[in-house]
Amino acid sequence: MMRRLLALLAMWISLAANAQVVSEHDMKAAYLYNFAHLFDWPESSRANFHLCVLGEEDVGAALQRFDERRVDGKRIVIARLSSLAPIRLCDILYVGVGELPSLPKIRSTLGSQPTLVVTDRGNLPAVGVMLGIENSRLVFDVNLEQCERAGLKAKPTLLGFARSVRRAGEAEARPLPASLPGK
Amino acid sequence: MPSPSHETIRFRPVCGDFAQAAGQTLSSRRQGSRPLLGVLAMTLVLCLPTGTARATGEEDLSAVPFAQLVQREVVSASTLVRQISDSPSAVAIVTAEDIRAYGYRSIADVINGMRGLYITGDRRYAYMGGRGFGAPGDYTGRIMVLIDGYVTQDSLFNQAYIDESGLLDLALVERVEYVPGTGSVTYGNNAMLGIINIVTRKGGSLNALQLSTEAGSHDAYRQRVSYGKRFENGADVVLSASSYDAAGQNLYFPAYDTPATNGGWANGIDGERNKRFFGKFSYEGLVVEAGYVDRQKTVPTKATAYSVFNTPFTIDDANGYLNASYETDIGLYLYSASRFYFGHYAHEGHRVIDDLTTPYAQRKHRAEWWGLDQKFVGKWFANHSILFGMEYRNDFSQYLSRAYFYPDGTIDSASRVRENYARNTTSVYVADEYRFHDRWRLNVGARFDKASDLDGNWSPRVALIFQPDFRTTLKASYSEAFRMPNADDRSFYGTQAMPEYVKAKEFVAQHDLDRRMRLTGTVYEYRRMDQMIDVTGNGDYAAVGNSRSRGLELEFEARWDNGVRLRSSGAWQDARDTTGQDAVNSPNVLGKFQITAPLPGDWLRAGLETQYLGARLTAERRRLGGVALANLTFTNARSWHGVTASFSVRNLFDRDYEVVSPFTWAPGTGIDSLRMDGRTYWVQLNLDL
Repeated sequence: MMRRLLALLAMWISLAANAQVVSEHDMKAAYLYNFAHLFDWPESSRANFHLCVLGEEDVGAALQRFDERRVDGKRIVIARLSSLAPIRLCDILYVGVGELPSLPKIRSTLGSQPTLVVTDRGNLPAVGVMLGIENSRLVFDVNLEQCERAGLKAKPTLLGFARSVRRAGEAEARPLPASLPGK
Repeated sequence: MPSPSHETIRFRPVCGDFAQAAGQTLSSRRQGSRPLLGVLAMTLVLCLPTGTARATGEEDLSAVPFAQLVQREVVSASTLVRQISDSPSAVAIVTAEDIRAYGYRSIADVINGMRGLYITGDRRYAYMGGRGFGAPGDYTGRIMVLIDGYVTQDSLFNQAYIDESGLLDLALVERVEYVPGTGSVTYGNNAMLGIINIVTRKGGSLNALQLSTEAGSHDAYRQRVSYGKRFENGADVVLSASSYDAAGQNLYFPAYDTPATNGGWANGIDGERNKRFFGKFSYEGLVVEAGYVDRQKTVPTKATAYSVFNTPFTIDDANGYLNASYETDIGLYLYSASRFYFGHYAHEGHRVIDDLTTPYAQRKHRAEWWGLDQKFVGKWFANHSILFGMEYRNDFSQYLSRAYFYPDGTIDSASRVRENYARNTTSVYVADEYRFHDRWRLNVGARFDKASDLDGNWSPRVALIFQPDFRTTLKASYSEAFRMPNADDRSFYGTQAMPEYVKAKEFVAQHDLDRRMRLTGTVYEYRRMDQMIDVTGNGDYAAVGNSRSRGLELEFEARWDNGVRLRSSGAWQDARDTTGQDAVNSPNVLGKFQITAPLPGDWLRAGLETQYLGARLTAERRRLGGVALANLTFTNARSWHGVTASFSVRNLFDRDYEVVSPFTWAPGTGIDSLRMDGRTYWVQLNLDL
């Protein structure tokens, strides 16, 4: 029986190794990397670009492959955080679902410093970008009010792909119409 | 902007071919199961990535333009519960919702539902067994039971308390993780079989003042009041107190069925009571928590050689602890966790013994200890997580005493034995998780423990983890663990008391069939060394015993979107004792099946659990037949005006069954097993204010 099981296991390995689909956390990591390019970042005295992950180990691990790539001539450094202590050092801070209760604390710690807060679901008014899954696609909403408060300028490309964009003074994020009616 | 790349998806056949080849080699040759792990390890080694594999296999998402990324389909993360412990073994998890759905009342119930584990009760304590561990007479030892990182075993017997003598009410438990395999590399002393990690609930998840009342068969009642809240500023508080009182049963023991011993009936001596207190305060990285339990039990069996049947035999176990920890990040790359703990244990036992001049015996034991642990995880290098730290533990008071008493209650001073022990242990540990490829990790670590009365000891572990894709994980590990002789060993074995060792090899495969279903398989081998054995048969003990156990476990779990959850597992184990014979109280087969589903109308949820305990040997090497038991629980699916309720039936089909007795209580009678309870009922009502 052991031998048969082993053979089965070996087959399993070979099948598994051939599968090629993009997992949620790999895609989240790719989005975060792209966000680094899709914003205009204010001048900073730091030599590196800090991409921080709080509370979702899988995304942190998937981001590792972007370590030492460059954005605006700066080296990207991936930081997998366990606490809120160092978040003021982050350029992008990704907050996983498990850490959402800490969002008020994160907001008050960061104030208006230029850190882009990205969350998985959660509360759009409190963050810059919120990710979500819709029809098996990873989608995102952008809160321009928060971005502007932090002095971050979203590039048009980003806004074009967003599911919804919330602008200053708007109570609710309004989804952009998929296509215009009429002629 | 990232530049576009070719959308070609290429495969990486390198590993698969080798794995298949390895599998064929194995099946074409007649081989025993012993080189099994070796072959598996070889399979893994052959799967080692080559330069070409990396270049052709990985699709570089950073090179895909954003416009294309947003069009790509993604596979959502698994709905199954994720393990917290970062361990190269197949972790089993039971969450608060499982605890409720299956009507678990103690950690022992939780453990009994887990893959490859079983509980043996002797109406005194509940003991845990699995993978060849859990011999009769071995208290729940050689396993770690942690509550929020605090090691709960007492410092005299290394016993973990998992029944009503345990520290926590299950209503306060968020999840229980079982990490099979040795854990000395992380925890040092005693982590031989595995780790049971209990995580307590946060006040925010309770978010109420909860009043709870329970009633069960044999006049068992429990009252509990708990309070939990998360405050605006992020501070979180849990407070809880409970009391349990059970009258128990009149029990019949065939071994004593003589007129002189009340026809084998032990009447009115099965009572149990406890009181529990728990409190936790957390704010940012700081957590201060304390717990206390005092349990009194009357033991209806004749639990020791000299005790007299059908006379009161009472035990009182008290456990208490304080655990304060602070976690933070120092800069972006260094995580720090500091911890202080204090523990207390007291035992008092009274019994009637078979002696005319001094018919009463008393035991009083007490221990206290404290410790400090400072752990760091350095993430300076992209592909390394470097864990290092040190621990100091001071078992400053280990007091054991026993004495006999005259019929008038005065002490026989000559019989009094009082022993004091102490030990302090300094440990250092280091481990590196090296992600040397996108899909490969190597985990190498070691811990060094130096106790004041023993030579220093290294506990190493090396593990190789391969994730061919995000749904599949393969882990192969080799580790060594040890157990220092505890105060009770030092008292019993004297200068012969020596540390005991185990070397473990394990291979784990985990595969998510989709986001709702997971398969887990594991093969293991444990080799134990320097076990204490009676060399001459006259009580001359020496640490010269060796034994081995090996086995295989398979588990399927699923969590569907309609609220149905299922978990099913089978374990096959072959455990030998130090003489090379089949080990006592170690079933060859264990099966678990659990399903819970909302009932039509969405008012109620049902949870059905069946457990199969395979045939096993008693202490006198008699074979007890296998037994299948079923438990059924109904809970209300949603709180109704703050009221939640549950109703459980244990041993649903009223099966008459016996377990191996941890003591030879009637040698020569041929009756050396203990009959367990038939069908029992239990209800619980909670009111959230």
